[in-house]
Amino acid sequence: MKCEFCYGTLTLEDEYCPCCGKPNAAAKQHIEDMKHYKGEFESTQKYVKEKTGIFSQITVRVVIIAVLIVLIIGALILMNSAWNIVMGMKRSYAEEHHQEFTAIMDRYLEERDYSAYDQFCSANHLRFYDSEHFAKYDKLQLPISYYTAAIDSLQKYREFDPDTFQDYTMRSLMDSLNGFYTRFNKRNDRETWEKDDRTLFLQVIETMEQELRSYLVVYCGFTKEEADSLSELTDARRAVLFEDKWEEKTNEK
Amino acid sequence: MRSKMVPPGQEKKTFRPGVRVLDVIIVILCVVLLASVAGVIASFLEERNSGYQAHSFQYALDIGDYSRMVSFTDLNRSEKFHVDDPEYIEYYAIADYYKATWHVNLYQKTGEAEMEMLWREKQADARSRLGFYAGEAAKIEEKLGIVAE
Repeated sequence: MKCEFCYGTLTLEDEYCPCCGKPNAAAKQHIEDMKHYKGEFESTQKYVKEKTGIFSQITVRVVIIAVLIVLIIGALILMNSAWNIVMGMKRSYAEEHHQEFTAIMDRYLEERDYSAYDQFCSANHLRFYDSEHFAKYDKLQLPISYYTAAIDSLQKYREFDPDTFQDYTMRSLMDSLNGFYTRFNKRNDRETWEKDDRTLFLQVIETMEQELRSYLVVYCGFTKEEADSLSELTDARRAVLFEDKWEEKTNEK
Repeated sequence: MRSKMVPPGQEKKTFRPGVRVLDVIIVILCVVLLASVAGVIASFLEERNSGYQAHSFQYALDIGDYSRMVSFTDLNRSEKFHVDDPEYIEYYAIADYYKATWHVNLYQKTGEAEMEMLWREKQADARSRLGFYAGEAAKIEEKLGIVAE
């Protein structure tokens, strides 16, 4: 551009003409404009940075919250699955050591230590376990559980002490006896049996039934006829028999 | 949109309530996560190490509930829980003696000699382990209504 006074060559950045030294009005305006635009630019830049900063802060926190929620849900699922996971681990161990385990179970059955057998199966999650190695014990689990529960209740029943034997124990006893006799009475029903399963099942359940009768005669004061009749009674008649015997024995005391 | 220009280094830190709320939520969730992790560990430990402690046996013994001691013993042995612990051996012996004695008495009355002999051996073995609680043998026999020979 040219100086308005001496027509010398100037640029917009020259505040004064390098030739005549007169002030350059266009440059002054230009400089003011540049200052203004720079100020606008910086304030816009600051605004954008500020907004972006807030956005990043919020985004990071939201992501952290989302991750924490997922971890908490995962932990809760794991907590609820602990029983299943441990059961899986114990069953895997039982499969690896199935010979040792079946030897223990056979020994308990031979010795008629049904309470130990029941606890062993329960602790190692072998009840209702669909496995080739433990198949022959499958149908025994429920009768043995009912039998051991009945004997456990009878241990208290036989003392004929109202302080140690309450209503709920009588209900528990009757539930166990009824559960056992239901399976005992159905023992010859037609079902699909693997080889050797049925023999073992019949042997054990008939032995348990015989022991139950003996226990009632030896320890609970039942007559042989009363004990022998138990398998043929209905649940209600069975309950009446036990309650009558209870009344009779507690009155004697 | 045009904000007042502030020299660098002197910008005021603005209080942002939304961000602070998120910080509080994060802290709460961290506490919940720690509690959940503790819960997971406790669940697994509980499942793996379930068994009865010595004080449970002592309580059952104090109230004369030998059948309960039998249940406790069977479970502890199944779970391999304090099986060889000296503190528990005598409690297990009491439970074994009670179990063996009612079996012996039962088979004696029913005439099953082979089973009676088997359980007599177990009874004798349990008796030898009673130690300090040797006196419990007589109490067990009395409880089962067995008259001393």
